[in-house]
Amino acid sequence: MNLAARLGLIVVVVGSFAGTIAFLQTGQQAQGMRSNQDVRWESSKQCSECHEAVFDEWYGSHHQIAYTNPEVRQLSDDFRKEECMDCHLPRPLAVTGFGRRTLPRRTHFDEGVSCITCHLGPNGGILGRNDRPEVPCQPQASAEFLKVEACASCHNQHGTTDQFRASHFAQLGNDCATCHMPQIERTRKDGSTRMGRKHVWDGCHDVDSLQSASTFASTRDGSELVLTLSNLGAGHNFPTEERHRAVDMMYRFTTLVAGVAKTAEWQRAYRFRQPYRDEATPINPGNSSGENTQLAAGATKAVRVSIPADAILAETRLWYRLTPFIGDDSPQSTLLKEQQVELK
Amino acid sequence: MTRPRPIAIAGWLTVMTMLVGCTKDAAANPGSERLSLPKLVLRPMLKELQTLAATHKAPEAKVQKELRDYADITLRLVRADARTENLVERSLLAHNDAWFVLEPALAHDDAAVRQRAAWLCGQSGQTVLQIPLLLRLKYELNPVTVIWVADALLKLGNDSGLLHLGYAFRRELTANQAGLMAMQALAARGVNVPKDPDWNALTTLLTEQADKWRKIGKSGLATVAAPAKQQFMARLAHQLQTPEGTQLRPVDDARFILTRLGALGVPMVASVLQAEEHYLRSMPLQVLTELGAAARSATDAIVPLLGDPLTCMYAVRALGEIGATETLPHLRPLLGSRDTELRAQATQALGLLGDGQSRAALEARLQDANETMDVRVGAAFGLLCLGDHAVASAYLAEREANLDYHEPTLTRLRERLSGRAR
Repeated sequence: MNLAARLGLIVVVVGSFAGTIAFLQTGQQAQGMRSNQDVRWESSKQCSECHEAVFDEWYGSHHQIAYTNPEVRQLSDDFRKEECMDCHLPRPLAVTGFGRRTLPRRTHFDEGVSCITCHLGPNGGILGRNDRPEVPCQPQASAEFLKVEACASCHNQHGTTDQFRASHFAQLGNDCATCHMPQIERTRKDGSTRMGRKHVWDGCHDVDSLQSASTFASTRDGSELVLTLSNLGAGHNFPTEERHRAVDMMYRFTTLVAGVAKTAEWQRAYRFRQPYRDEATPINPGNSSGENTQLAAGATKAVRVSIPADAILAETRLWYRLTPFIGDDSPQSTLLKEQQVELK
Repeated sequence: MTRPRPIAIAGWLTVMTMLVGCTKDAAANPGSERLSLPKLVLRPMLKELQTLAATHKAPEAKVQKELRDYADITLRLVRADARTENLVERSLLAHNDAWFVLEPALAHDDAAVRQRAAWLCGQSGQTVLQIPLLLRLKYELNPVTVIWVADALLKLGNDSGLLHLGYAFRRELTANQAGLMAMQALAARGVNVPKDPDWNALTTLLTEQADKWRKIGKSGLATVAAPAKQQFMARLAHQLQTPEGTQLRPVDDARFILTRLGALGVPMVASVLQAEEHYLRSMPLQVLTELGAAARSATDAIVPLLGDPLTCMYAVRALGEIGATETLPHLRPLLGSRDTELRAQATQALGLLGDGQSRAALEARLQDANETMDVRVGAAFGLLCLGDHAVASAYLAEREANLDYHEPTLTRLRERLSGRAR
């Protein structure tokens, strides 16, 4: 083949190739689609263009405020403890590896744990529950990002996902999303509906979730009041996560003396909590120093209190506290259950 | 004319496909626009670190018993006459495995025992004991014990104890003892301490020494014994492998220790930058970043990571903080990266490195209305590092007034600019 023929052939091949690429790109644009390969996914705001309802759920959730939450800012010394950033401002989990320690980013501070954190794939594409090549972000189905391991990257800091794996909930085939991302019906732009997952991650900041975690009972057994807490609803310890989370069983008696009713101060019957590592004082009298009194999944704890003479009424309360150093009147204390036992 | 062979056409198509692919990769890869970087050579290091850490073992049973007997007397847990105590103390301090009893004693329930253990660590001259002392410093709540731990660190050539003595001046309970310790520590560092210094003068002298320590990571002591190599490496390996787990506390402890060891730990920390396991690479980068100028010797180990998509943003930050001006040709092109993280880090690093050549590029980033606020704030910071800049100043002031940017980050940048924090 002479030189001219060879050059001609090259031009034809290159031209055909370039033409094919151009044709394919035009076709995509004609359908109003952005190629997943061409978009750099960095912010949840990009997701809000199509997933407005999900974005609205996420916005204001404890995932979204993970880096701006005043409580976290205080505990992390305004993130001068930089290791806190690993989970409060994480880079995409798939990039660092599901179940692996996360790495912190230093941008999009207001997005905390963002859409990108969970949904960005290792190759820059979007991960979802199903393959959806026809929609703009072209999600690819990923079983990995639905597994407990995905949450473990951050939520095993205090052993929560290990507690879950050891529970009967895990053995029944549940995962974190079963409780924390329940199914809800979503409406598409064309009015049709589909099932999706709630993106709020209700947990310790949600009264309903807290109340559903446990069963609280107060009964009389002879001369004793028995307060019983069973962790039947949470697939992990109750409380779990940070060591400052506490659950308190409280009681007080009303006595009738010389016809006058007197109600005593509230007393704590038992506190469920994992102590700080350097906390010498046991959580409850009778516990050893450093003993973790969180209630494991499926476990029950009963505490007996002597009923005073002349007592006519016992009142009991179950409190959840974001920190152990607060009283009942603090907004960080949540009253979960309240019961009365007539004693006369 | 010879007919073109199908294989030739297929070859051409393959070549062209690869070319197109490479072009796309180049656009997508934030590192590709840089000058050529030294080759990134990674190797699995987790097992290596775990094996090395495991070499730090308790001594054999017979020695353990001997050391426990020494400790009971030396820590005054059992009574002995002064002569015996003196002899036993000398035997313990001369023992290479003294750590076996001194380290747990640093966490004893009785503060007096902890204080004595700290003093013994300081007297032992065993530089490697800096590591358990630093860990004690992290958790110690008793103010008197804190100054004994700080004093022991100073005696072993770790000047991070200086500021703790300074803090102790403010408490009546600890002021006098801390003052004495400070005067001894300063004198041992060749500082001319006035005969009857007031608290302010002493604080100033301590601060000057502490600044020197922060800049060079080396003690002002004339001589500091080299740590027992095997034990030191094993202990550092134990700290450096902690990010393998998801638990926060061990990583937090490790960072506390490694960032306060000064230049002593830098070679070992830098060596882990070659770890194939990304989570092992990231902590050393953050440690070197916090060490700042004291970690200058790690520059060559950091530079190849500019080509690592997972950790390049931390590498950029580290190079800026340690003052690696020779890496500017690698850093400047990052202002044009597609990766917002990299652009944001580069703006600050170029400012910290005082790169006047980047002024125009930083101004362009700042004034680009389509640029993310993270990068624009970084560019404003970078420009203000280079000197007064009305537009940059106004941009940061606007963020503060509008409350539309992360407040602690703005505060920290302001602190840096005012020289109040490193």
